[in-house]
Amino acid sequence: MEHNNLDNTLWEDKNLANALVHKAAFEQFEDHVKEVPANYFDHQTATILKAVKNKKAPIIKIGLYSKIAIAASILTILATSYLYFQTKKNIDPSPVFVKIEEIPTADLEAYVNSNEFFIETDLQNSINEETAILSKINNNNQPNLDSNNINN
Amino acid sequence: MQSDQELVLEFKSSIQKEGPFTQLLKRHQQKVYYQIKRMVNNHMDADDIAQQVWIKVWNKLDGFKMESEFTTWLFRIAYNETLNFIQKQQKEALRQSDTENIDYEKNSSASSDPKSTQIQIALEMAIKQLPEKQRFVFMLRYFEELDYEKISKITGTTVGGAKANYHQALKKMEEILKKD
Repeated sequence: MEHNNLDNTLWEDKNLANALVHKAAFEQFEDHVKEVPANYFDHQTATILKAVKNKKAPIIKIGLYSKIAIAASILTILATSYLYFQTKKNIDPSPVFVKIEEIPTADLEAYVNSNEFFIETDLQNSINEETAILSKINNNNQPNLDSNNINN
Repeated sequence: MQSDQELVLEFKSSIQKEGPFTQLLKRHQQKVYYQIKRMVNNHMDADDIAQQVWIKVWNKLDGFKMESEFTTWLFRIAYNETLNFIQKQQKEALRQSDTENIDYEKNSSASSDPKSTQIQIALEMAIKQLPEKQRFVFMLRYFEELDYEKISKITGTTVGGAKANYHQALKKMEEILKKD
């Protein structure tokens, strides 16, 4: 039934075309389409088969062990890359720049207080060094005075 | 005789692909060539395009999912290759000035054939003026006698769209022939 419907619609479509255009013209057109050189389709088969044989890609067969080796290599590369970037990230954190005006006074005071001992130590060290230098100079001058006194 | 589907399966599963491919080629090469020639109206061009189609079939058949008939897939490749060829030719013609008439003379073998009648030449001219999709749909329906379901799958349109293309093509051909 469905096949008959298809045939009917096809028959209707073709009849309409023949009526509107020209059946003979369609037949002549089709005759011209089907005009081909002698043995054309045999030649075409040979040409196409030759072309596809030349285009054939080489087939590389990979064994099970080779597949495992390739997979392991890829995994190693991925793991190494991941570890490298993770380590780099931990070692080399990017610096954060903050303006001094933006730091709260309480934080600044806390920083100064916590570092006061080191500042005082540094100051004391400087005083000690200066004192030592002065003492050395004094000591060097003392014998000269004494010798002057002796001579006098 | 093996069906198309069986040959496709054999092609996909075996290393010796030439056997099933050759059978498919010999079975369908005429239909493909004729459909292309109806579009380009020139043996040399039709031959070139048909070869490209079959090379593509060879390269893509392993990936063919068999969701449609092999011939639907095959004609779809032929449709795409033919459209690509025509578009390239049109671009080339645009580049050269006054090539439209020369191009037509080159492609229209009916006009140079002494046996051709006036009506045949006029029909060729009318067919050439149709948009490519309408032309392809009309040829598949009138000469290959395919149903609209299959035509719609080949040309990537709806069944209604394919029907409309057929009737629009007819109407245009009638108008062009009336003018002449």
